[in-house]
Amino acid sequence: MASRASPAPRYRLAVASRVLAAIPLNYALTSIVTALLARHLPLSRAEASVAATLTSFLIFALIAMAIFHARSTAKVWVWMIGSTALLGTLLALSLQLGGRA
Amino acid sequence: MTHIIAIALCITGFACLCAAMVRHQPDFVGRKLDAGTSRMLRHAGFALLMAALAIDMTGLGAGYGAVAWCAHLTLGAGLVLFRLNRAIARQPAKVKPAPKR
Amino acid sequence: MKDGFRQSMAWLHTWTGLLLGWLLFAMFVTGTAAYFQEEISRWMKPEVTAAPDREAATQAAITYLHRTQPDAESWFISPPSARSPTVSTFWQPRKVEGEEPRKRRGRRGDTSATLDGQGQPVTARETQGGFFLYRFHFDLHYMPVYWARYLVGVAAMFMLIAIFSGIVTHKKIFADFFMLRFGKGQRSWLDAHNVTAVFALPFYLMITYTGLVTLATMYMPWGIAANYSKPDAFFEEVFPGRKEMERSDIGAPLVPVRPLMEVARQRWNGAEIGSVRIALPGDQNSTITLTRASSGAIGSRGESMVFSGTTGDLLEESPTQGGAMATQSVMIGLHAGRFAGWGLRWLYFLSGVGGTIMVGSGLVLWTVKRRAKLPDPARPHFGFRLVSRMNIAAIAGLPAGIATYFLANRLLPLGMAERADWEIHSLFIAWGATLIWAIARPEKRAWVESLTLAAGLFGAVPVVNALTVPRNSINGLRSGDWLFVAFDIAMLMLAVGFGYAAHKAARATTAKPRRARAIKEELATA
Repeated sequence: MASRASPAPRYRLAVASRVLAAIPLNYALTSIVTALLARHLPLSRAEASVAATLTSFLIFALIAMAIFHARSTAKVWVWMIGSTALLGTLLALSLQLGGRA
Repeated sequence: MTHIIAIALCITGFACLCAAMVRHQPDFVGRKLDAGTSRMLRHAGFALLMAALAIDMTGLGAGYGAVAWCAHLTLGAGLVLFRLNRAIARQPAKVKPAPKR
Repeated sequence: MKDGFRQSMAWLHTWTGLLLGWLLFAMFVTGTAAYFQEEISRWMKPEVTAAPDREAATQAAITYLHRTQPDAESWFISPPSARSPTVSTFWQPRKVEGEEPRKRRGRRGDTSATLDGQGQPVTARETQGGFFLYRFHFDLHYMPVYWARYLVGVAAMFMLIAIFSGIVTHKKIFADFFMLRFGKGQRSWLDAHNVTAVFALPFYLMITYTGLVTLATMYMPWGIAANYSKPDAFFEEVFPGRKEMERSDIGAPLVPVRPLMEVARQRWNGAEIGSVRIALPGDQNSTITLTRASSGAIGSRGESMVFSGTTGDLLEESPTQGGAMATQSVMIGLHAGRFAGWGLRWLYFLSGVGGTIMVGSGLVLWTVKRRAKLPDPARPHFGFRLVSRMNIAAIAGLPAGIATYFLANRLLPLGMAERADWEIHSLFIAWGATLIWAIARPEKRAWVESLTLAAGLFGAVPVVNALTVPRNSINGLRSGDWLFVAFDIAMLMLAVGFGYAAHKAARATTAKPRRARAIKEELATA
């Protein structure tokens, strides 16, 4: 777009990087959080699965907004990769110990 | 019938709320109202909206009534907004504050 | 990006809004129409008039299925309702050992039938009716259903984020509600977008979230996968009625269904029966499962009762739903609005129209904002031309297509092969033709002409209807056939609406450079 409002290349790169964090990485993180909730909410197995699934869209939206709200792009990535790795490990442990129906 | 009564209450309720806002009084009422009247209008507005909820829930059942109330609120607010805009449009052009933001 | 939060949100809003806006517009249009899908279907099958007794019609359907499909694995019957006069049935053919169960695809006529109150197949014109508009809302067309649903899900998720970020960035959105203005001139697009966005915001929030929930197990299967190695294990646990019964191979007649329906109706405080499923008909182990109609309560997942098919004894009743399951059921029910009576149904419809205008005005706004900044407004660059033409095709083309769909229903020969498919093809032919027209003509003329076309097509519907079938408004007023009166009025109102839009488009002037600067500044802050 040949207009004054068009963002500078660096700004565009930052946006692209955040879009990457806010969509694919966010989906992975949300999936892990949803799975953890489904396994550990204090409800029956079926109820917890449904409750977690219903909440997942809110979680995805909130993480996506936080990513665009954050001050620094580097921090976004540190937080996202860190929490995905940590929660992913917890989920793997939970699956190893508990098993599925 | 319940729908019509509830919609009427919602319109009156939102009209009171609008008239209670100092910013809109010149356009909506024609003059500034004193603080006491404004407060009274505000309370009356909320009371009318609550009355609409009560009527919806008794007339249509609790769950159905609550859903219908949301729809009635939307319609009421929209109609009052439309009325306010008409009132402003009909006035001779005078210095108005910038429309928004 | 803290300082630029609003800016980055605005940037995201603009571009994702443009990319997904065309899809969201089509979803809003067809979804809004789908609130009247039963009525549209009835209008599109003018031969069907009977409004038969539910129980008798169900029994007659069982007799029909007994005669034609005695060996089926199961029968599924939807009794007639206040909104739909016919009985829909489908069946699962008996499984043969060593043969893969056939997927339910291809022609629906193979395993389904529409019956009248006497259990006779309905001899109405072949059409998908309002059902097509309902399915297009989330399955689209001419593409695999899975892709379509993911695409629709992405659009819905974007819309959810747009709503949340809108509330966050404009925190005072509700306190400032009465500050919304219907402006004049170039600003009016911005105002139309803002007003329709804010005033039905609770509806959009509800409809978007619950829309995602309707396909939740597809978009986010990991909640179930975390606890169950197979999704089927989950569904069998929560819906006990789905358990397969063993065939005994001892024949036994079915009990009459009417007394069972009365038992169920009393159990559900008078709510009607929405579906009857008979497993292993004619076998000693047959079961009859009755499910509450979705019009009976907000929750879409109706309670069900399972009876023995040979003794009529109550075998099983759906357990009370837990909080999460009940929430999900209510959310899906709120989205589909099947529980809504006439008053609420029209309010749903109006909110849907609001959403359609919101998305449509947003699309137009993209071009309005950029036109003023074009280096040479007389010769816009390719991207701008593409977007402006796509907008015309989306906003005027789809409604024109739907009007064509209605007209095709009346005009295509009744005996035509694949008639129902051709009705749908004609929708897309008209839609595609609008796109080609929009590309071929100067932009402003294209707007005026395609909006006029949509108005003309909607206006033609009552006329063509009156000329081709005996049911129309004039007869309807005399005989109390209100469906046809209402349909004609709705078509004429749409015609007037599009005619008005065409009139406005014809009078609209392109911004003069002098004024453009002032507008540009105003829009830049929006």
